[in-house]
Amino acid sequence: MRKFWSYLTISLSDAFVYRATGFIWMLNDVSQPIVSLVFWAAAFQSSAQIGHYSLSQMFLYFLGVMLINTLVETHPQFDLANQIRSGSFSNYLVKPINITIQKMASAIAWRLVRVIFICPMLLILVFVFRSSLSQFHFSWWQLSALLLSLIMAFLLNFFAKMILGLSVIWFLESGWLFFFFQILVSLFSGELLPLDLFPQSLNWLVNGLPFKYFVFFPLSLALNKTASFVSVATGLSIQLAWCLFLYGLYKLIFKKGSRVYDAYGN
Amino acid sequence: MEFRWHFILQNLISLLWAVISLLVFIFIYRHVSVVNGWTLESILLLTAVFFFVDRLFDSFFFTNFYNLTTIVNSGDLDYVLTKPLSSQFLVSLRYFSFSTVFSNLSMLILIGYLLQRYFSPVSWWQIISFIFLIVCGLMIIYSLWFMTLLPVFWWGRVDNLHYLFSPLYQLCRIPIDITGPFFKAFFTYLIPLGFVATIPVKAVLGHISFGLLFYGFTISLVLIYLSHLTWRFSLRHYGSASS
Repeated sequence: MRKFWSYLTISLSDAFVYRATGFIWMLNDVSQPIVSLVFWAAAFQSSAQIGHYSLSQMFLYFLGVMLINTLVETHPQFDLANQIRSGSFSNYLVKPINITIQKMASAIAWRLVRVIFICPMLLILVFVFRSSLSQFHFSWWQLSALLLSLIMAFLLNFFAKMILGLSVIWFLESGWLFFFFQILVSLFSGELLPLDLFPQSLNWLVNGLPFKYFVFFPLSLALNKTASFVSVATGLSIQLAWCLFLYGLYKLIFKKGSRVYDAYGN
Repeated sequence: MEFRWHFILQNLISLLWAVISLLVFIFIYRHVSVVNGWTLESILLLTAVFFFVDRLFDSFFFTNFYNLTTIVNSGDLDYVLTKPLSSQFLVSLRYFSFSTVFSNLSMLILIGYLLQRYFSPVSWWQIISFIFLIVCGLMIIYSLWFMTLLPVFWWGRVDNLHYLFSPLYQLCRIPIDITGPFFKAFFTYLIPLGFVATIPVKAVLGHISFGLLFYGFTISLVLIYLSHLTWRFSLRHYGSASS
């Protein structure tokens, strides 16, 4: 735990030094939902209800996408890929450094700084939408389910990206894989379009992939769309199962990868 | 050809991104029939045009833009400045990327298909003004994006400065004229992002005045000149890290 705190403080100061970089990434992350919103705002001019959504619900949906991505979307894969390519990955193998803890501390630090960036914007949005927000009433178990789901979404994201990063051991050049993964996540997590507006015939695919639990599921808890105790419990269990699966896979790939890793440059 | 698989995969994935964007609009239009005059067919045409322009921009400029921020910080810009050639030309067009060839060809085919299937007849004049406006759009996006890179001379190390313009640029993916009269005028005349996709599409559908065509030509030249002026000005603040 002490190690974790020192990693966290180091990464925090790192994230503060590169605050301009962080700010530009934040602008890029929020632009996608904002562009979607601009389009939806025009679409709602001709009809008050699209699917199950009214305009204000659609606004809340995309604000939620923005906020959840701010909290849970991490990118340890780029750094990890560079370390593997340059050979500095060896440090994790020969020194008493736990790669999972160190990368996670860094991911959390960057998320914390991002939260600070998004706060002013969030306050403005809350002020603008205060009337739609007042319709939300959460019981304590719903709030704890939401919190749990957000933490698991973070872990899902983190382990998936770590696996992607480790893939460089085999592929050397994994940019295409990172991008491919990003495309799948954007579509099937509900980032580009609410998953319940997809054609019914695609339900098996949407529900069978883990990406729903990256954004859409926690968001549906936050928006009170998944309200019954049974559906919340089922969703959380599936999310937990995906978390355990990805963690296991990550451990396995790390073990196999550290055997075939070439340690260039050392 | 050592990286030929990487080349093919990069191309396919770049194409996949365009396909997904088209798919999202197809899903949306299952629930709505028309958005501010834009039908599914016209919005697909807009998306195809956007990705066509976007991929041309990527092939010609994006790698160079990334490179520019790096060489300003490393001091390697010296080698560019000492060459007997326009330095702006050299930093903007030095490298060319082939990783978007598949998407460009597919988007061209899609544009052709949509026009022939849903919007024919299209006159020669419409096609010529379409191509002309796409060239203007490229010049406009080049100049605006290039100018957002110049703070690198003051700010130093900001690794992702070449993404600073990207959020605004994303607006080109949707019709500019659905943003309301104020923003429509803003994105047509002041920050003319409309010329990237919306206005070329309107031109090929025959909904554009000669005046707007002329304005597109003028503003793209003005912006290119402005980018040149700001480049010259910024160069005076180049510290040359190496010497």
